[in-house]
Amino acid sequence: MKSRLKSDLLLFVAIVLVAVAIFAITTAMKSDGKAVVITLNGSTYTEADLSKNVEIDVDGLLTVVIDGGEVYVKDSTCPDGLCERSGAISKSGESIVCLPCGVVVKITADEPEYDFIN
Amino acid sequence: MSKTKKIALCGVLSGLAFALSYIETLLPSIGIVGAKLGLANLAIMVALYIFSWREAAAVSGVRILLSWLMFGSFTGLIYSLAGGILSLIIMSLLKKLDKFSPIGVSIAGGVGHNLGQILAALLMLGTGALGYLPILIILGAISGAIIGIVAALLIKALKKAVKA
Repeated sequence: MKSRLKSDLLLFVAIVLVAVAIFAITTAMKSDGKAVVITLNGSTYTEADLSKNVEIDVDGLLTVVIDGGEVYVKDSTCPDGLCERSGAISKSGESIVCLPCGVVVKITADEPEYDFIN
Repeated sequence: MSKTKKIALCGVLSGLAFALSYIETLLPSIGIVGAKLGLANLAIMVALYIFSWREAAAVSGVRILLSWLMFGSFTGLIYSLAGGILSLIIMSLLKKLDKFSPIGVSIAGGVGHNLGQILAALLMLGTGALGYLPILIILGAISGAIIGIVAALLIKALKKAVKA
């Protein structure tokens, strides 16, 4: 029994280390974002320039707000509201996910391919 | 154990798993997509240890179906299935390995559950959900440990009771 508890602990530590390593690698790869990509159910809904302040209505499900180089979600129709509580993101690779709406808001380091305005 | 007794116990465990899922919807969320305590895994762990992976799969399947019918959406069903199946596969394999106590098995199950959900999100929403991977792995391990400690006590007590 003792040795099993020891392997339990080792397993726990190994899992945490892996998670920390993934976090460290993804954080190291982060840079200031340039574009915001919004996907709806896996396909691109629209892209926008992170430097331009704009409010984007995503299919009546929720509103994505770009304000001063930060992105956040407001007025979501989802029941849990977790996407709104995720707060604002600004670095490339960061994302806000709303599972009930099927919406992912992701920041990329690439120049935006086209403007939401166009 | 007689077949009747086994069926009755599986029914009780399925009911428990479903009730625990419901109780969990009443608990406040900590504000991270997909992060849950996984109370229902208590009943699945008990089924896995008292019977085998088949009974555990049945309990898990009944729970997922019932929760979906009662308060779920179809998208929710896909995420629960992905989490439930991966978690059960990992727990059954680790139990078979016989190197870990129920606590370790439950830790792996918790992480497996969250990995399954991330995989489902990858398929359905693209790579956006990957940013949640590290925190969901750690939370899965912590909640798995808590559930595992309770499950270990339950299994010990129930094994005696069931034999009688």
